[in-house]
Order: sequence, then C-alpha cells, then structure tokens
Amino acid sequence: MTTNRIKSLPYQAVSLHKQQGMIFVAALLVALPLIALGATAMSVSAIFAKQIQLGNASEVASMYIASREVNQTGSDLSAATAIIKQFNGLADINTDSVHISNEDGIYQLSITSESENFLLGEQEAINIKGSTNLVSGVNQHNLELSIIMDYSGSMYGETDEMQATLAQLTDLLTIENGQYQQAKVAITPFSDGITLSLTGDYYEESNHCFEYLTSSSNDIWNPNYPWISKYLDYAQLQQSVDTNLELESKESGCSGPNAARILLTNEQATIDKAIIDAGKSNAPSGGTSIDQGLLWGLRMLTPQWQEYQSHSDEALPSEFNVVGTEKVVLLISDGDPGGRTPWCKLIEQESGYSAGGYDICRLDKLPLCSYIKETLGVRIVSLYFPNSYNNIEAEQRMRFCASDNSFYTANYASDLKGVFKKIIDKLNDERTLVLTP
Amino acid sequence: MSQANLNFNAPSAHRRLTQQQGVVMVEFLAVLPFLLMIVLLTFDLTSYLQKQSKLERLSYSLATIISHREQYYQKDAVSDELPLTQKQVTELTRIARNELSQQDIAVKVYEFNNQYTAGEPISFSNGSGDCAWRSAGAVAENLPKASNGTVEPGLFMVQLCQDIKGTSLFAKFSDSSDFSHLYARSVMVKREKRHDD
Repeated sequence: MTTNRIKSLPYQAVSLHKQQGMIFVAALLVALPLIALGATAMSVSAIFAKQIQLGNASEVASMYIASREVNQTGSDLSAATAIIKQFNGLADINTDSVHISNEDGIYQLSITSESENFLLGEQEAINIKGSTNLVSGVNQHNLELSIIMDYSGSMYGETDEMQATLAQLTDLLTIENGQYQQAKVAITPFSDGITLSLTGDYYEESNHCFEYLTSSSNDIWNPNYPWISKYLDYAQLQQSVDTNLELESKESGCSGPNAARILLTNEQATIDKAIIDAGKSNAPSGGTSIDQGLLWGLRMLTPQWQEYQSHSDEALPSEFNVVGTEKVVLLISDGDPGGRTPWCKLIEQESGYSAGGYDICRLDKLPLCSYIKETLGVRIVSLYFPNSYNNIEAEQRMRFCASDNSFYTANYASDLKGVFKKIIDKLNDERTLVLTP
Repeated sequence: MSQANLNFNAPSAHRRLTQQQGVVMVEFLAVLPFLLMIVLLTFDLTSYLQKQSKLERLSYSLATIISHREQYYQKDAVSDELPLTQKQVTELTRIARNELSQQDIAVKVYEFNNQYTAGEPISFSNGSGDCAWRSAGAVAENLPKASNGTVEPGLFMVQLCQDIKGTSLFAKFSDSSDFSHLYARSVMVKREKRHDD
C-alpha cells in the first residue's frame, strides 16, 4: 500500500505541474456562457421593454387618428408614424413599419420594429411587433328615445314653443335620407291620461284615464314586476280594480290630450308631423299625471311591446340592459303634481301605504322612477319647465326622478333650444365610444 | 528505477505537491474578480434596462393622467377648458417621485394645440437641470401639421428624467453623461369636448 503510494507520487507531481493554468482555462470556459447568458437576459429585457413601448405608441397613434378631422390633408399613416416617432426609442420607425388595416370596421394599427441583440449584434436584430385593435373613429350606440310631453293645463301657453323646439331637438340627431341614424324616437303627450287613439292599438278600447291591471301578462303592468309587487297585494287589488277604476274614471271625467302617441320610429317626417299635429290639437288642459306619462313613455321602450309596434321596426323596442343600445326617457314637464290618477289612488287605497303617510304616486317618492333607472337601466332625462305656480317642490320632484347628471331646467321658452341641444349633445357624447384595446 | 532511488525522490515530490496548493488559490483569486465583474455588470445593465422600462411605463401613466386631468382637477375648473398649470406638473412630479421612491426625478410637460394658427407649445417643468430634454420646437416640427382652417388633435408630451449616479455601478465608474441619467417620454392625445355647448 505504502509502496504503491510512493510509486504514484512522481506522477502526481508531474500531473499537478501540467494542471497549472487550468483554473484560468476553466474560468474562461465559464465566462463565455456567463457573458452569453447575460447578453441574452438583457436582449430579452430590451425586447419586452420595446414591445411595451410599441404597444403604447400604437395605442396613442390609433387614438390620434381616431380624433382627426376627416378633411385633413396628410394621410392617417403619416400622421400615425409622426406620433409613434415621438416615443422614446422609436425615432427610427418609418411609414413602412406602420400598418393600418380595416377588417369589418375594426381597425388594427401595428408597428414592426427591430431590437438589438446584445449577443449577436445588429446584423441579427430581432423583429418585434406591437399592435392595438382600436376602432379608428367612433362607434355609436343605438338610441331609443321616448319623449314624454306634458299637455296639462299648467302648460297652457308654453306648448307652442315646446313643439317648435322639439322639432329642432330631433334635427340634432344624425339624419340621412330622412331617417335618424342609429336612433329611434317615440312621443307621448300626457295630461290626466294618455290618448289611446292609435289605430290598431292594443289599448284602443280601454279607458283614457287608467290602465287595466288585468291586461297583457307581458306588459309592464304585470304584477310580477318588482316595483308593483313590492307595494301591492295584487290578488286583492284585482278583485276590485275594474269596477273601482271605471267608476273613478267616469266620476273624474279625465282624458288625455288630443294628440296621438307615436311609437318608436326612425322616420323623421313621422316625428315632425306628430309634433305639428300636437300643436294643432286642443289646448293643454287637465291635471299632470306624470306617473301615467312616465309609464307610457316606458312602455314605448319595453321589449314586450314589440308586437304592438305594428308600423315600426319589428325588432323594436330592444331588450333592456343590452350593450349597444341606450334607452332614454325624456320627461318634459313643469313638475306640477296635479291630480293623482285613479290608478294611483287605488294603489294607495289597496296597499295601505297612504295610511302611513306614504304617497306612492308622488313623483318624488315614486318607486317607478328608481325601478326604471336602476333595474331597467333606462336613463331618465328630466327637463323642468317651470311656470309661475311652481315651487321648489316641483323642481325637487323632477330632480329626484332624473338619472345622475340628467336634470335640466329651462326657465323660459326661449331657453328650450339651448337646453335641448345640451341634452342631445350629451346623449350623443355618451353613446359615442372610442374603443380601447 | 531502484527502490533506493524511489525513496530518495519521494520527499521531493511531496514537497512540490505542497507548493502547488497555493498556486490553485492564487489562480482562483486572479480569476474571481473577472467573474464577479461579469456577474455584476450583467446585473447592473439588466437593472438599468428594468429602470428604463419602469420610467417609460411611468411616463405613459403620467401622460394619461395629464390628459384626463379634468377628472382630477374638477374643483379648479372654472371653464370648459382646463389649462395646463405649473401646479399640475409639480403634482405629477410628486407622483413620479413617490412611485419610484426617489427624489432625483425631473418632469417636463409640453402641451401642443395643433391648430393651423398654432402658437408656441405650452411648457412646464419641475426638477433638475442636468437632463437632456427634447426641445419643444424639435417635437413640434415633427408633428402632423393641420391644413388651412382645420385642427389636428392636441397632444401632451411628458418627459421624465431620473438621476442614476447613486444606484448604477456603470454610471458611477463611467464619466459618460449617457449613463448618468435615465430619460423617458410619452405622448398622449388630449381629451377634448366633441361638441360646443
């Protein structure tokens, strides 16, 4: 054993002598992959950073060309390239690197660029693509606008101006070949009740002043609708409804204005004629049953009423809470509570809420307003048009019923034009989307 | 080779072996700084790129904030047009400093109202002066030009500059000004009212 060890010693010494410098060689062998690894890590970091930068630049360039006026002299491509070049590290981008495509109305802006490869040098630059899908331009939601006009006695002397400006209101919508573009309008004049004289209308035979609670199970009067079922014992109410309401109606002798309701239509001429006809009708009279007006205004937008839209688009009204369609009720009134409808009185009587001081049909407490806004997702735009009898309560009533930022006041008839323009501009703005990636 | 000869050479070989042990240590010590330098440099440059990326992202966020500032400065708005102010840029700088947890951050914001009869770009800055800002004139020169009677969309440009002398090894040992500061800029389209009220 000892002899063998002694024997190997000279060979070990020689071997060790040969190993001098091996550490350097090993270090060199380790250093090269280490450098390559570091260069790769940096190249990957740089590629990701540049890709993010290209994505940001393409997004801003898309927004820029979407905001441009159509009559600009320079092309969208050169404008987009100029914007992209402003981003840090993208000064070398030229129009050849930018591509704008349009497939079925969806625009895609993509930028191709190169990133340095720290390992292989500029000859082996890596192609990177940053792109964004963005509609170059605007995309408008469909608008279903139900206008409810107050024709009660308190509006006497105001309706002429209202009609004149209403015609201008609908002119503010985009019109081509006599048709509203991506918009439909319905009109409901109301006072004590609603005139139900529309030929072939479902409610043609019904009384002017009230609604049959026993009507279509698909209708918004259906007791299963939460705003009704919350306050009513429907079965109990149903027993007495017909006789009570009929009697009440006969006693009060109420009626709606002599102006026809117009179901949703995109025909400008139909709406204009309805507005003119309303002006030729009897002078405003009767109480202000806003609840009735509101309900009929809502009915115009209720999908269950598609079957009654006999002379309009069969697909209208569309479903509630559908992306791509905005339903709006525009209530124009002086907010005068006037007389409550027999229907409201009956609800109070039967539900017992009036005994507790809860006036269910007052507009400022009407659960219907909340139901329309919150559950059905319909915007209520409330235009308060005060007369000399109005007080602060009338304004509060109208304000309560309106959706957020949707309450307007026109103190004088001459203010109406400006207010209508504000309303339509706001509606146009809010249904106009610039799609983001 | 005789047994006696072997016995004679054995102590000498053992002595040489003992002497070689130090050589390995010396070689390793000679190589170690080189390896460490590669590792540190890789970390340093990766960190540099990461900081640059963070700064780019922050400049884009700040450009978005300044474009949407009407939502944040609603109480100050007295008119439909909320002008760009030094106060807004100072607050942007505070946001940037908080975000990066560093005080040596400078911000410069340009506002371009690119109309046919456009005036000088509006400019506000906050922070130090060693930064190589891109001049407003050079930027404006390369923006799309509005044709007669028309308007191109307005733009904001937010430039950010970060001093990295204290945090980067490369910047510390390099006198090059290219490595002493990080610089980022982003552009954002102005949010403008589509209709006149």
